[in-house]
Amino acid sequence: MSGENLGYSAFKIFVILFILTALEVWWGMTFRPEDGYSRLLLWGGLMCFAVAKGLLIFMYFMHMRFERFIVWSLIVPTPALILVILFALMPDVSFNEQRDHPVGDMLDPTGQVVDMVTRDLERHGTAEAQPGSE
Amino acid sequence: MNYVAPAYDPAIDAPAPHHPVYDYDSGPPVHRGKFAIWLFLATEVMFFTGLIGTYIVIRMGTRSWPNPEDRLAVGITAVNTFFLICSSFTMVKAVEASMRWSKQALLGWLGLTVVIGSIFVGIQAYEYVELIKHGSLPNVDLFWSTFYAMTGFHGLHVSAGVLWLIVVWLGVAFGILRREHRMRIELAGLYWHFVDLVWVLLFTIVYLM
Repeated sequence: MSGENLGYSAFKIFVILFILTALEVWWGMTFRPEDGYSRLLLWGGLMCFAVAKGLLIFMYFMHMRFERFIVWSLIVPTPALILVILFALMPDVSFNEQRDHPVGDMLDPTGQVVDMVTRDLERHGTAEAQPGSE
Repeated sequence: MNYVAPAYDPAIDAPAPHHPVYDYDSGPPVHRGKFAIWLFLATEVMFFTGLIGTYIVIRMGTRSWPNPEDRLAVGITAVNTFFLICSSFTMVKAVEASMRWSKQALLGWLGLTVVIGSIFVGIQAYEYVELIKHGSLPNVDLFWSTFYAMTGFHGLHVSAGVLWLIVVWLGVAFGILRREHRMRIELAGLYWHFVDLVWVLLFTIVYLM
């Protein structure tokens, strides 16, 4: 599995991706905020795994590491545009506290505001889910 | 030996006979197919950014978001993610076989990629059927509507990728695609890897966060 023509060992990249996926799932299952871990730890770790895997696929499987400037110039503007979208959406995220009630909640037939986890508890009666964890 | 990307090849990329012929090439200094696919992938990046950005706004604006593990089969989907990564590997091997034009190896690796891609779509379809059976429809709440929007559009992309690879496989098998058309296999591969890359992010955001 040397992959001489590619300039790298595709099998090595595949194995690294497999290991990272396994670690990511373990991280996601272990460091749950419901178990008292910080949300930053969960999300930060998961994003690190996801970005590392994405970069490996982008640089090696899509062989961007070996491409010339002209190809890079096609894709480089998109991260800047992504930032524009995120900044445009930021007010909707950061001003959420000022809303009458959050967007994910629903009104029950009596007009009461009910959030999603509470609805889950009412439907299934599972004690594991923690209302108000977000 | 390092991989060298194929450059503009007049034998393949020459303008059609009814086009005027100049003594210079006014096109970009890269294969036109590759130029086009990367432009297309850039638009696809923006498409999925729109979906994921909307999800972030909804998620952050919600007081209480369910633990995905309570609602989704994370274990099965982790295995499905592994399948998609396997298919990316087999696609790389197919592209590698196309470089030396080993037709049997190319057909084998391409066929394997189609099979594994189809398994991914099949498992996702099974997941949808089971969820719908349990009443988890897109109109139930925002968790489900964002879930179906993101994974559904990705599933459509994978399905399109499988169809594309089947067409390429048939083209190679029946001799329509030959050694001089090997770039077409690379282009299909770029799309396939992109679909894999998007899933890596979606799996993290939807199933684990």
